[in-house]
Amino acid sequence: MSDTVTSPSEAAWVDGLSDTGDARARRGRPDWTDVVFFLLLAVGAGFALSRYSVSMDYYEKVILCLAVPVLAWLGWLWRPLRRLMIACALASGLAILLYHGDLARAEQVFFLKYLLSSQSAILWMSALFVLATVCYWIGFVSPTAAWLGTALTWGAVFAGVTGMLVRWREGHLLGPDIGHIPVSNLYEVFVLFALITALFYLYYERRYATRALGGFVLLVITSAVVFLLWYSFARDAYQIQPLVPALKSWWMKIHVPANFIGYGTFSLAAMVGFAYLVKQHGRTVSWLKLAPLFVLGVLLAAEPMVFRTQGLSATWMLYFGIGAIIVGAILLFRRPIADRLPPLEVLDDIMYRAIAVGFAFFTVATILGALWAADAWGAYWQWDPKETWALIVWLNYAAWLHMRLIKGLRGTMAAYWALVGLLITGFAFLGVNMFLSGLHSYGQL
Amino acid sequence: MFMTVPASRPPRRSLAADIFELLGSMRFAVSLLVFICVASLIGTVLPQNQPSNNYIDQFGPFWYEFFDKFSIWHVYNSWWFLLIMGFLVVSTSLCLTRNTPKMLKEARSYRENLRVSSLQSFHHKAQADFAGAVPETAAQVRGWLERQGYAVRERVDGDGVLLAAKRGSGNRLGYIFAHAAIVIICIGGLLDSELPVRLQVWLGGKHPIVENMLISEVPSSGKLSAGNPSFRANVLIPEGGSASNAVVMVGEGALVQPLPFAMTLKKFMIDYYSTGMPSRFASEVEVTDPDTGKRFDKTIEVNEPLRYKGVTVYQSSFDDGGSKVRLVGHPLSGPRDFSFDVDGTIGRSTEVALAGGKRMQVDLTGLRLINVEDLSGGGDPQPRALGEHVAAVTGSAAGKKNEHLRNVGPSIEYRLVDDSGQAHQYHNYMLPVELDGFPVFLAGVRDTPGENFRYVRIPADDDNSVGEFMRLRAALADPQARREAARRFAVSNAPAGADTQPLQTSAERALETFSTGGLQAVARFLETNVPAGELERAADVVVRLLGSAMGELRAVERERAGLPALPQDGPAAERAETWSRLAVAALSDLSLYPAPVFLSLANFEHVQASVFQVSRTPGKNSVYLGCLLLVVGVFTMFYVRDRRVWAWIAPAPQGPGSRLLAAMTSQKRTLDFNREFERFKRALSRLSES
Repeated sequence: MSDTVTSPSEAAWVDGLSDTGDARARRGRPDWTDVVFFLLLAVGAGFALSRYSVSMDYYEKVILCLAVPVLAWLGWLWRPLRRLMIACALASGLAILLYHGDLARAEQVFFLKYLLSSQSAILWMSALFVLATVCYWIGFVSPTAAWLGTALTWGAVFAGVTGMLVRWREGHLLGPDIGHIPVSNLYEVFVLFALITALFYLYYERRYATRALGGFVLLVITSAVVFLLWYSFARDAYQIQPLVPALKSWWMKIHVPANFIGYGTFSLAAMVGFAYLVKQHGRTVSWLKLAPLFVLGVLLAAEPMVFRTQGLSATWMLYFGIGAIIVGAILLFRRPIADRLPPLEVLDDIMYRAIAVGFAFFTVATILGALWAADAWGAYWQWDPKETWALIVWLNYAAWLHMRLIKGLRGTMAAYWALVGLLITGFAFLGVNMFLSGLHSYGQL
Repeated sequence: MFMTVPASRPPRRSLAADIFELLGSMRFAVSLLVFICVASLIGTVLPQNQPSNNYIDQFGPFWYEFFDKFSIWHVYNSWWFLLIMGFLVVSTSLCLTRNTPKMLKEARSYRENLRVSSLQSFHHKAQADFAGAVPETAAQVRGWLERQGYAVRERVDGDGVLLAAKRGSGNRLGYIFAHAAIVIICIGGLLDSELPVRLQVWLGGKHPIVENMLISEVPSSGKLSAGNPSFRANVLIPEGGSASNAVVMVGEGALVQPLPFAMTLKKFMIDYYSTGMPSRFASEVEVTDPDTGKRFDKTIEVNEPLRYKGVTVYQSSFDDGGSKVRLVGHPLSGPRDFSFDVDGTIGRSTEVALAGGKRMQVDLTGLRLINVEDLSGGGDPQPRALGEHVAAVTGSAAGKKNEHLRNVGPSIEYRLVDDSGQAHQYHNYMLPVELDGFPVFLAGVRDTPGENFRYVRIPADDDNSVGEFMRLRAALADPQARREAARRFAVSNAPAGADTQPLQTSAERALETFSTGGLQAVARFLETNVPAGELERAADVVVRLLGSAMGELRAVERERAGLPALPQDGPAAERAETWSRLAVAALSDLSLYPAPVFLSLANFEHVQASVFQVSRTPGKNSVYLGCLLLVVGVFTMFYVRDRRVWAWIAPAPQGPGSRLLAAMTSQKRTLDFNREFERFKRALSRLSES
């Protein structure tokens, strides 16, 4: 046949790749399992409609009905999601049964107290994510550990999704007017962020047949988890609060998740960019060339500290110290790490894909936000700090995509830019809530 | 933007052509994006649209003048920001006009005229030998391509056949949609910005009004036309009131915007959660159309605006609509206590007669029916071990945080201007609040709106009122009462048989000093009259002396008021003692209380007002259309993959059969593309073997 087009390093990877991210070679037509899954979802939605229709307005019912085909489609797109959805549905269903409509049972029933009540499940998620990060890093020397990392990440996602679903129910148990979808404050969206980032990572892991990126991506998730824990321990932020009137809208159900697909994939892209730079500098001896990478890494580790208004607590000094040490260690062991990372082309491709998905969803989320704002505040755009920062993030990635698609920007520059993008995204996500007052300050520190 | 760098430049070009080229260039567009980022950033860091005084305080007059030239106080409406946005629109439109025809042509074309020899220069190419003859092979390959979703065109060239196939050409439409969307959104946004109203001020001879006046008195230059296509205005309607005009703020002034209908506010409602947090703001309005006389009712609430006759009405905030209040006043100076009533309306001023025939103006600024306060005392959380931490956050996510939130009832806010012309704001709660186990009336004061209120805690008496405290205050200001209290104190405290006079004098002195300036005055007195070494002991003695003397004063006051003597033991005595201690502290704080009277809320008739935002946004549909195009464009761009395949089928060089030379290309050569090409090659070899 003809000459080969893939570079030798790439060719080795191509064999393991899976276009679907699961066992199928191609997605093909939906089969009978998809039909069954669709029916299951429809039954679930029908049950919710008949049982809880009082708690939903017209639009929310429409969203619920549309969720059925969308989830079925997602399950077709990536098979493992179906197992996850069924497992989470069963677990949260069990939790709801165990609750018997009485919140106090969270302290009495063993399964609720230690596993299934929302806080316990979210704590399990946190623990599993941290363990998974460690496993992924050990995975650079032991494939078993890397496998364990994947398993633990799945476990964490399962625990987290279940925790969120149970939390939703707990809100309604608190009082009929208090319950709402758990994406309304900083605590809840941090859990959402960790879950979405992890799911996207798991997809790419399978699709590109590499576990070497797990350690990098889960660093971001772990720092989100550290923040989450600090936020619950020090600020009691885990408690369900009723919604302010402006947030009481069905728009929240679609605006926030869409936004966090953007945040999650941008973070993922940045960490892949970091891996890219590590790989590229695998043989670099000069520390001077590594300096910018180190500085950026440390800056990212320092970002949460910048937002602290009243002094620096020991927790965050420790966090910063450990962050800097981790960045230093990665750079120190760059050579063995680089050898095990996928080829640069693959990393570049993941980065591009993640940013493309993120950009598309961020666009949708910003537009949904504008539509909602038009209803709630009377103007679809009023240069509120959060809106403005969303625009800045959007423009930043728009410029990135332009440079890549038109000017063919690849490699080092694109990777650095993706990393800087995470700084900007981080500020839009966290900084605006803390520094700048505005209509979006729902989560204060 | 999606410009491509021109392949070859003409040798000479005019300046206009250069500018044209620059405006449409990628470099320029990306610089604009960066510029907009930075400008937006300034706007988020610096609080926008505040009174100019705030900025002068912050930056000083020189820098204020300087920054004012660039109007960074309202970045998003400044001329230069609009200019950048204008450039963005121009640059994007230029790209669109230049590239759209090319792209459409490109998308439609199959490029079947490709020279066969150039297939060799493609990066992704494959070759296969087929057993069948040329037409047979061509049909076979064509069939396969069509099953894969390709549109195929065939060109016969000599004894060979060229198949030109394409798929996903819609990808190009994605570019066009996304970029057209930017232009459409920017134009729509500009229509809905402040620009149309500002243009009417600059060119239409409108003059914003800066002073207060009735709507009927506003000259026509201060009024926008009823047909004004674009505005964003506010209107406040009290319950029972009605409005058909709204106010557009322009800089420091305002313009009146007549509305195409009248709204009457029937009722404004706030619902609360059990925690006391508001859960819903809603206004029941009756809308009257003056043209048709049609009337209808509508409930406007947050997230549920009213849309009528091209105007949208949003629930934006609420205010007091002129509640009637009755206040009870007590003088805070002079030896006599009495109470007087003050009737007034929130939002208006009223007068109070003071002792000595003076009158004083009271501006009643606010009445709040529900005040949810955190009465936990705000203590720092105790350090806990990690295990306890974890235990504390497991289980359900039910809140434990709101336990200390209490609704402490209505409060009144008013403003008094003192003799020196300085205004202070006061905030008094109607009902006593239980603080540290004792009910106290909170009387707040602050000097400027930026500060927090400082509260004097007046202990509630047995009638749950401030009456006894006020009588004690008067008694303290009365020399005779002080002397009597000092005498009684000396009699009961002097050692048996000793002269009571010195003790009486000290007690009287202490009471007098206390009455002039509270505990601070006592402290100052001690500092000047007692050697530093003995200060602590002396202070201790004086405080105890003062406490006992005040107790006697209270007894005097109670006798004068005809009340029974205080009990000597039991819980009632304890309570009386706590009351006295709190009263001394409050009397001491009163010396820093800048008002000559204390006004407490006795009765009220609540009238609320709703504040609506009213807007007409002609650009909205255009913006939404743009948004739709943008979403369609972005998804098309990323997820419709364009592919082109050329297959040249010619007779085999030796023997029967045919040889196929194929090439594949795409705009985006991602890994996906490589893998698809590999599949294509495998498919070809399968086809050739069959």
